[in-house]
Amino acid sequence: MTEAQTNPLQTILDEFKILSPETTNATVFNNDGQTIANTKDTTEDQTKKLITNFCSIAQQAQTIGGVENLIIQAADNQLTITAINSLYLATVSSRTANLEIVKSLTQVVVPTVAKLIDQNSIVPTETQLSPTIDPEEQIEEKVALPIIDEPGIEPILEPKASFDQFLPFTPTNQFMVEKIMGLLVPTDTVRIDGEVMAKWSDLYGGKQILMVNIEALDGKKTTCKVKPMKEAKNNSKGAIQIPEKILQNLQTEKGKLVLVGPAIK
Amino acid sequence: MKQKTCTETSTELIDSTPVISVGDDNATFANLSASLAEIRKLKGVMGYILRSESSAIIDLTEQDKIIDYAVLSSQISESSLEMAKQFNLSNIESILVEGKSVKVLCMSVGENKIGIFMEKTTTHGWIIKRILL
Repeated sequence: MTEAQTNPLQTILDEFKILSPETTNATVFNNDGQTIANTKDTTEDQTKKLITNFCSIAQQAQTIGGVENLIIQAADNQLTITAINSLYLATVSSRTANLEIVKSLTQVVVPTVAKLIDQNSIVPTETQLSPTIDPEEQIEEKVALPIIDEPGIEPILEPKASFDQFLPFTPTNQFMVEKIMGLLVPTDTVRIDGEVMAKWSDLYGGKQILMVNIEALDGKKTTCKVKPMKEAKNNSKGAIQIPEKILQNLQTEKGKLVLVGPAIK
Repeated sequence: MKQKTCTETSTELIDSTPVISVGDDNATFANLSASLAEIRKLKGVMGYILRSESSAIIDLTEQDKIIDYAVLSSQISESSLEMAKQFNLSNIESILVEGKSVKVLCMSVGENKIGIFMEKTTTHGWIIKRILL
């Protein structure tokens, strides 16, 4: 990779600290193990060992089709490595970091720039095609030259990334059952993580999700109202709060699993 | 699906699902094996490997990939630990490696190491929660 290609990535990594101060380290490397860009706080030794260990995993991971994502979650922070074409982006960030910003940087900004760099490296620019020739001279030359039937050579363009790959994948999620009780708890409404509801809503073009289909593992199904959980705790992501009446209908209980999907008319 | 624990290596094929158990149990290992047996029933879960210093249970649908998956989960645990050390990540809760269509969730509970193989679309968040329960 040339300096012109690595520079935009280096510029973005330098901005990480301003946009997401909780991201302490970021590195971009290619599948040959060569470092492309690095944040200032990341030492050469850290990068070297990171790449060596990642390569060991990637080698064995051929059995699952290579590594597209690797996430090491520790108590306070996490290390993420994401594949972007022939590049890998590694970041270390605090688990308290604003996920929206981290995702924007690691899943949108860096991949987009990397793809643009890839495209630019393949498609020559107009100035590169005819850097010194005057357009009038070009026409004269064309007139003077004998006509030969030669197939035109055109640069092969990389297929442009489709927006489809950024779409959420499935509208059905698995949740662990939690019982919800209380005088003010409506008996016909379940509660799930608001983020999941927002994703479903996005999937259906911003439609509000008011009802969900719930299926227990033994096949019992029901449709009921849904609301986002009041307290968005870290551990509420995989849970669904269900009132007693619906639990009885589904013949399930606390700690069991259910499949939940939006019910859209 | 049944699991068998004995002092010698044994291989069983019940309903085309290979289960290999080795060694004797300890309390945490037994609890984890019970949790994993429950997790194994979930849609999208392709199997798991549970190993401690003296015992191991392998329950994977794809019998021909048992060795590959065992080596992979072991490599993930070892290399991730090294990577975590480099960046001062302490108390690792989970390691997730996503491939093209399969993902692997690796966790350590005491001396016991777990590798769960599942389809990429499977929600793994609650599995972590279930194991840490």
